[in-house]
Order: sequence, then C-alpha cells, then structure tokens
Amino acid sequence: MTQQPLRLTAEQRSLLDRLLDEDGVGSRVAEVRRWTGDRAHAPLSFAQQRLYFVDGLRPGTPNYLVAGVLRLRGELDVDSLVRAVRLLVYRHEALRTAIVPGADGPEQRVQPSLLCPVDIPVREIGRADVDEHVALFARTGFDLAEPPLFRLELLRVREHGPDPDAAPDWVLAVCVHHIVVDGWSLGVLLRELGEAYQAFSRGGRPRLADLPVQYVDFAVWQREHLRGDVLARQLAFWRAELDQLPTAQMATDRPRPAERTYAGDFIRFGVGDATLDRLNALAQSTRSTLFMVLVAAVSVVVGRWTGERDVLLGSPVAGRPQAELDGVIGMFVNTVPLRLRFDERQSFRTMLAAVQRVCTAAYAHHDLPYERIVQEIAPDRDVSGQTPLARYWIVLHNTPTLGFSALDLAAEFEPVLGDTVRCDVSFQFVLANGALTGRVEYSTELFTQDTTCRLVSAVETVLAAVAGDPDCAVAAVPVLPDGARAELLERFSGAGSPPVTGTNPAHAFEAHADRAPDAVAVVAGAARVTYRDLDGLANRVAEGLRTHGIGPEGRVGIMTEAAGPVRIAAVLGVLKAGAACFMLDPGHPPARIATLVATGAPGLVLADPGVVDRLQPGSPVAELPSVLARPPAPRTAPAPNRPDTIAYLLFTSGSTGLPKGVLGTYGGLVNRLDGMQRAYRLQPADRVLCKAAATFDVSLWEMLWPLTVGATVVCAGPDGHRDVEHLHELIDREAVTVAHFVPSLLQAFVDGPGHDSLRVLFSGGEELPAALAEQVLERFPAAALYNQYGPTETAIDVTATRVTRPVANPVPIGRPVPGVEIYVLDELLRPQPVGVPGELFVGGIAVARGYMDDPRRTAERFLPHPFRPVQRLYATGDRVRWLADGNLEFLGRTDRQLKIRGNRVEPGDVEAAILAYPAVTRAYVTSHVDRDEPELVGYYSGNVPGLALRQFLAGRLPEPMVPTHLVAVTEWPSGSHGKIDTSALPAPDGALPADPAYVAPRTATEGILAEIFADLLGRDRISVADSFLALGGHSLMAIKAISRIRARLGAAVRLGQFFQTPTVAGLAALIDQHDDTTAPAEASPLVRVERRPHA
Amino acid sequence: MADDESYVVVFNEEQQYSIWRADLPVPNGWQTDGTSGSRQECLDHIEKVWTDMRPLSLRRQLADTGPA
Repeated sequence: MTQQPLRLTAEQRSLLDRLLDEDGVGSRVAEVRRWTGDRAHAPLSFAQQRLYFVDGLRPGTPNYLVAGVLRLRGELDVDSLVRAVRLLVYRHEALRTAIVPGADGPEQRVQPSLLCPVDIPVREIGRADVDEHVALFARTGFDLAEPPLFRLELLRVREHGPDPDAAPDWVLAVCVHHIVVDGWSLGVLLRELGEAYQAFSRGGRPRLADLPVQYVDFAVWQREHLRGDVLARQLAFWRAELDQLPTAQMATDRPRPAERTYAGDFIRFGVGDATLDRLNALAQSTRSTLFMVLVAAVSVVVGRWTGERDVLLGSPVAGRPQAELDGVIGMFVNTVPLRLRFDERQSFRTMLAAVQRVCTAAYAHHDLPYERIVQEIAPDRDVSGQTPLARYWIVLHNTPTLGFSALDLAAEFEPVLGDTVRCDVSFQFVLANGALTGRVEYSTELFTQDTTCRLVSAVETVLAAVAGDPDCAVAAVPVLPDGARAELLERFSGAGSPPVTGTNPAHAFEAHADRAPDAVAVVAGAARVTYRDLDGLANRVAEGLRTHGIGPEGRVGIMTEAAGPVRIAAVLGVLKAGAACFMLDPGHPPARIATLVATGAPGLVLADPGVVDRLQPGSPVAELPSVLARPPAPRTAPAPNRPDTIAYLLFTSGSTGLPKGVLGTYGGLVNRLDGMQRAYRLQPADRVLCKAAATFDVSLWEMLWPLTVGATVVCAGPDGHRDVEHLHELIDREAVTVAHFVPSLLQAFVDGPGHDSLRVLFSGGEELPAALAEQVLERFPAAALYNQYGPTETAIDVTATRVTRPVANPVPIGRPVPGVEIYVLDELLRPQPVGVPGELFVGGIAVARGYMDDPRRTAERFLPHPFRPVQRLYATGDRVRWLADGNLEFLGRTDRQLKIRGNRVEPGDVEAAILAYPAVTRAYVTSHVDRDEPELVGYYSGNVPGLALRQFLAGRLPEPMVPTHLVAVTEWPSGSHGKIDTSALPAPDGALPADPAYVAPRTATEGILAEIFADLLGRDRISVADSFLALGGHSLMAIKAISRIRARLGAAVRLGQFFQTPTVAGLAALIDQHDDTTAPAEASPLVRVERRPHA
Repeated sequence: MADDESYVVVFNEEQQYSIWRADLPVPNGWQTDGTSGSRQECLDHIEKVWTDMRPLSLRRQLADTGPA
C-alpha cells in the first residue's frame, strides 16, 4: 500500500499557521544540518526503528513496500533512463542505504554508489500479462541488509495499442521499501527522474537543485532535537491527550489472530458534488478545513461502532516541517493520534469546533514520532507487532498527481496498491479535480466485505446528513441509510411475522382428550394417567376455583413437591378457569414463600398436604387431594380470554436484589406454544421430559406443549433438575424423545451415555459454550440440538436456532421466534447497524404485563416502543449484536460492565477470549476488590494449563482486559433452576499463577542473558523463568536485547524466536542447543555470527 | 448505574406508565403526565400513581362482564 501523506494546501497551511500563532504554539523549528559522523554507522530514525522491528518478526515481508508503475508512451531512450536512475541513486543517499545490525541496535549504512549498482532489467511482455507481473513485482520483499532497497523493471509491451503506427508502450515498475521512502519521496523521485531523463535524452546534463541534507542527517537531528525541554513538552502534551484511552474497539467479524498477515482489501465510494460543496461551505463558515469535517464525520461513525463517544483516529502526516526536507527522499511520514471526545447532544457544528481544536493541537506537537508516543505512553502488547494505539486511520490525499514529465513521452503514474493494510480500518479520502472520492481499506483478517460496506454506507449517510443540516444534534445524525434501517426494523426484527392467537392451552388439551381419551398424558414413576383421567382431575380443580369465585385475572398458587399428574392437573384446572398459575417452590425458605405470597396475593393456594405448613397461617389454602377427591365436574364453559389477561405469575431472582413477579399473558403463552409446535413438530408418539423447577418458565411448556398435541409428559422425580443419574435411567426406561437442559446440567448429562430415543434437545437459560455443543452433537448424532434464549419477562423463549456443525464460537442465540419482535438498540434507543453491539429489546405479544405490584421496576424495564404506537418494549439488559445472516450473537450483560484501573471492561468480551482457547468448557469473568482496587478475575473450566491460558489471553487482549487472576473451576456451584451461582465462586487466592520463586542463572549463557535483561529492564536480578515482556520490556527494548545477545554471545536470535520464549532459560536453551556439536545442522535455528569485541 | 439524564413520566391509552429521556421526542401513542426530573424521581412518581397495572381496556371489559 502506498501511504500518501497528508499535505495541506497553501491555504490550509496558512490557516493553520495563523491558528498556531494565535495560540502562541507555533515556534520556529530548528534547522536540520548536515551530520559529520560516520555515515556507515548512522542511527535509525524512530519510524525506521519501528519498521525494522516489524520486518524482524517476518523478515522480507512484502507488507511495507511503496510501489508504482510509470506508463510511458513514445520513443523511450532506454540508456538515458538508466543514466537518470543512476544519477538519482547517487544523489539520494536513501536509495543506497542498508539497515544492518550494529553493536547496540540496528544502524543505517550509506553505501557509496559504486558499491550499489542498480540494474534495470528490460523485458518484453504481453499487454495482458502486465498487471499480474507488476503485482508480483510489487510484492517481492527486500533483505534490509542488502542495498539498494529499491528496484526497477522496464517492461516493453509487445502488442501495440489501437493505432498500429503508434510508438510502443513502456511500463516502468518501481518498488521501494518503506524504510527509506514515503509517498512524498516517490513524488520527488519521479519528478527528478523526468527532469534527469529529459536532460540526458537531449544530450545535456540535468540541473537539479542542491540537496543540503539527506535522510541520515534528519535521523540524527531527530534524536538531538527531541531531548530536554522539547521532548518533555511534547511528551507532556501527549500524555495528557492520551490519558485513559478508550479500550472499546469495533466488534470484529473474526477474532484477532496472534500471527498477522495484514492481508487487506478496500471498498471505494464517492461523495456527491452537491454534498462536497456544502461540506466545503461548512468548513469555511467554521474556519476549519474539509479534512476536519471528514474527521468529525468519521468519528461519529466509529463512535457508533465502538459504542463510545471517545474515538482515537490515526492521521498520517508528511512529517517534513522544515523546508530543507522538501526534496529529500526518506521515510518521514508520521502518524498523529487524534483523540476525539464528543457529546452527542451538541450540534455537529459544535463538534466540528472541538475537532478543530484537537487537530490543531495535535499537529502542533507532531514532532514527537508516533513510535515514541507508543513507547512512552502506550507500549504495545500485541506480539504480532501492531500497536493497538490507533486502529482506525483517516487520510485526506490532497497531493496533485505525481508528475513525471518529459517531452516526447506521454507519462502516467499509478501507485500499485498492495493487498495489505496496516491498521484495522483506514478511511482514505481523495480530493482530485474538484471531486471527493474515498476508499475504506480494511483488514480481511478481522472484517468481512459486508461489514465494511456497512461502514462505508454509514460514512456516506453521515456526510450527506451533516452537509444538509450541520446544526442538527450529533445524536440525531443517522448512520443507517433508510433501506438498512427499514430492513432492521421490519425483516431482522421478525416484526413481519404476526403473532398466533390460538386457543387456551387447556382447550387444546380437551380436544385431544376427546379425540383419544385413552392415550397416556402423564407418566410419573410407575403411574400412567390417561388424557381422560387427567381431564377429569383438571375439571375438579376448575370447578373448585369457580366455587371460590376465581376467574380471569385471578391468581392461583400451586405448590407441589414434584412434577406429576397432580401438579399438571392443577395447572390445567387454573387455565380452564381462565386464571393465572402462580407457581411456588416448597423448597424455598418459608420467609421467602411468605414474601412471594404477600406480593402475588393469590385468591387461593393449591398445595400438597405435606407442604401446607410452608405457608403463613391464615393463607387461603386448599389441599390438592381434597380438591381432586371432589365429585366429577363437567367442563366449565370456555372462558374467552383476551390475550392480555394473565396466564402465569413467576418470580425471577434476577442478578440483583429482590425477586420480581413476572405476569405472563395468555397471548404470550399461546403464541409460544404454537410457535414451538410449528418449529419442532411434536407428534402424539413423542415423550417429553418434564423436570424443570416449577418456578422456571421452561416447565410451562414441558407440561403444556405435549398436552396440546396429544403427546406424553414424562415427569422426573423431585430432584430431576439436578440428578443426572436418575435422568439417564428415566430417559432410557421411558424412551424420552424431547428434553431441555440448562448448559450446566447438559455438561454433566453429556458425560454419561447417549440415548437413541432422544430426537430433540433444547439448551437454554444460560450461554451454551461451543465446546459443549460439540460434545452434544457428538454424543447424540441423531438428535437435533437447539439453542434458545429468552428472559422470563418475555414468554419463555424469544430467539432460537438449530446448532449444527461446524459449531460457531460463540454459538448464536438465533433468530426471533414467530410472533416476537427483536431490536438491538443503543442507549438512545436507535437501531444499531448489523454487527454493532447494543441492548436486546423485545416487543410483541411475548412481552409480559409487567411485575406484580411493582410499578416502579415495571416502568423502568418496560419502555415505550419507539417504532409502534402505544406498544411497549422490554429492555432485557443483555448485550447482543445482529449477524449478517439474521442470527443474534450474545455478548454478555449490559450491567456487567466493569471499571478496572480506569478502563471500561466488558466481561463478556474477556469470557469470549477465554472460551476461544481450545478445551475451555466454560468461562466467567468478574471483578474482585483487593486493597480497594477492583481487579479482573477469570474463572474457567477445562483441561487447560493456567500459564498457557494467560499467555494466550495476553496475546489477544489489551492489557487492561487480561485477568489479573485466573481461577480454575472443577465444579461450578449450582443455583436456582440449575444455573451457575456466581456468588458462590471462590475468591481468588491472591497468588498469581506461575509466580515462581527466584531461580539464579545456572550456566554461563544464562548468566550473560540475565545481565542483559537486568540492565535493560533496570532490575537488580532476573529469575531464569521471568518473562522479558511481563517485566516491562517492550518491542524496541527487545531489539536492543537481541543486539547485545549477538554482541556478547555471537548468536543471532530472531525477533519471532525472542517473543516465543522471552525468558533467560528459554533463550539460553535455544542458544546452547546450537552450540551442541552433536545436534544436526537443521535442528539449529540460529545463525552463527562472527564475534565482535564487546564495546 | 449512574445516570444523570433528565427524564419525563409518560403513559399510553392503556394507562401503562413508563419513563422517557427528556431530550428525545415522546414516541407515538404516549403522552407526558407533566412530571419530569431524575430517573429516580420519575420512578418514585410512577410508584405512587400507577396503582392498577391492568390495561385500561381490560379493566373496562371485566367491569362490563361482571365480577369473576
């Protein structure tokens, strides 16, 4: 990729100077002077150091090349061209500079041009082959120690153009390593090439301006200039500016790999002329520049994608403030971080003023190289070599087209754009001939083309909107074009599928009782109850309720010890009366039961005799055996239920504090049961396991769904939701075909034998780890596995998906089920674009009435529906995002966000990283307060070595997100409904994993390595197992370490090797292994180097 | 979660109450009841005034069909 620098127009420069003068910030920059030192051992500039480091990780990488083709038509005097090139090599030291290892780090070595001959091979090539040939040419890397770090090739195109008498076409392909050149330099090179060629081809001598300084002089100057006060001032500015950086990134489509190839692609787009005119007018009226308007617009987009109104954009600048550098070829381009914090309530115009201040201040301090900023303020932790400081770049290319001009030759230059990109996403704008176009370059390792198209669309939408109305509040600036918004609200949401309003489940049951009265409805232990008998029992219950005056809107408590025909008859009876089932668990402490009953205010509680004593004296109780012993009763006339009458009351504990009583409606229940039937097609021959706790909404469908289709309910014993052995035995004995598990129980269940009878398995209630899903598919190859999601407040489940191989990680929670509306919204209740995290909101008939007798918490969570009048949406508090295929990805809870040492951390993201490690079966991340400071704790299960997991996480996550404590869990404490009881997890014991005691160096090699480490890291002593990186060593320090190792031990350790085993013991083993003469040559990874006397 | 935003109390034709950010336009089908303030203040108010959580139309229908 050619990196074109930001170059302000003269008008912009003068505006900037004026602004700087007004602020008193601009100061005369010291002149760069010619250095008198040894140009064979010159220091590197900071930018070169960084490139050297990156190259060291993958020597000869083609990722940092600047390439282009000059298309020439006419009579080309090849000799003159060659002479011109040679002249330029002589003239510009950068073109004959090598980067070689030195005593204390790498050096620039300027070679005399005699020792640096440049060959220009000339080839004949077919026109059709040019592009491919050039692409390959532009991707061939360099050995930095072998100058010149640039090459040329002249191609003579075999076929002529349309005019057979015209002169042949030529293509001059140029490729230079970025360590000695930048985009501006390429312009200089081509311009001078043209001038020199012209002169030579006419038999004259070119007259090029004097070059008072060369790149080496700049590198030296840079070090001398950036010292003392100057350095302190710049550092202070950047430290303040980059304090408490946002950790949020755009959610990627693929996980960030530890080893990067930097493969990239791009998408083009255009900005209409009318829009451009308005944007320019806006810039002028605010005394800012078009670039600043673009920065503001892109910040709005990136801010929506990261979820934070605190955005960091990298802005490449030319880096040549001194006039004497204008004609110098070298690597000057610098990246300036632009830290944009904005308040969405302000207008875009106001935001623009803030952006202007940020840009101006940043450019006033751009002498400090980006690499230095990274080193001092945000040292990289990314082993792949990329600094995480600026993941998103913005560039406005304002340079005129590079001009090679010579008479007799028509010339056209075209950069060869590589297929790599050095940041995550780069927003590139090009202003040429009065038109504004753009390219968004993106890393294909992280993002899909689809996602990037959406980003492009967002930028276009924002620019059009602010051009039309710059005084509109930033919060009101759309990032979604109308079509995309409509798609989210109509199609993705499931809003297009109308709810099913069918019959009361009890009436559906009655129909089956009439059709096949002798079919077995319920199995419990040895008992088998037919449809006819069950109906009889239920009718008695309904009659009993009627005599008690209980009907629609009445709540009936049901408290039984186990699932069975009695409980089910009670439920059916309540439904026949059109009332609501208020499920109570006799296993709860009496105090809790009393609270629930007080809140639920049931008209009557139907209870097993053995548990009546759990209720407060004076409660309206009827013992079930007596109710069921009543004389047979006919069916009561069907109570026509409005869908919004209540059908059940279930208390949910939620993540904090007091339980809330969810009032579910008939509409929600009926719609869900019908939806399940349409999706999973239960048959009368099916046998459905009923084991969920009565207070868990899943139990409702376990009891009712089979009975609405003529199937059989197989009840587990009282401890059914925990006793895995019992379940295995029961499933076999009764040939159960359908069962639901929460993942915690599913894990235990899948460790046992398989069952041929099972044809449908449901997982829900918790996150389903991908590893577990794999195990289930393995163990039950004939069964269909579904992952379901749904809070109690929304009729059992609202999304579901079938899980098949290959199992996605994380396993999606699925698409909206019939009759349900799903929206992913941000804090302002705006629909989030596909791929962008937001809170999951549920609408439609599944939404409960609210919390019993709790208007406060109801009002808080059941909010006005922004898209359908009068309706309400339930705010789940779950963080999710849409995937392109219409499925949802669960990311964690919104209320789980933690603040660790000032950084916002989403535990869900850390958990996802832990789960990405092979063999991890479950993860949970939370904070633990130690000496007043919250620290991250990561709990995990699976056969995983803690140290390996830590290194894995350190390679993937930014430092604040790597858990301080990693705790292995063999058995997850189980809470209500069988889900994990996170409050019962053990506190971390304070010992950092693998904190070995000090081990002194044991060999001479280890001793020397320890000394080198200690010296560089500023420590008294280094244990042989201490990691260089963990002790604060960063990439640039690593380069020094490697130089010293080379000098003192004569071993050339490669950067990649260093990072793989950054310990004294590990490196010593590597070095000494090479020394062992019995080892075969291939086994030795190191290169023998001539020892130099230690300086 | 700390929330310094200003809210208003809103209700719909079913006399269901909720809260809404003061700086956003009130959605279709809802109206304010005049109360505004912090999130807590609005919720406190709702706790006092929202005494019957059944939808209004349901209440009316039940009244028409007589007591259960």
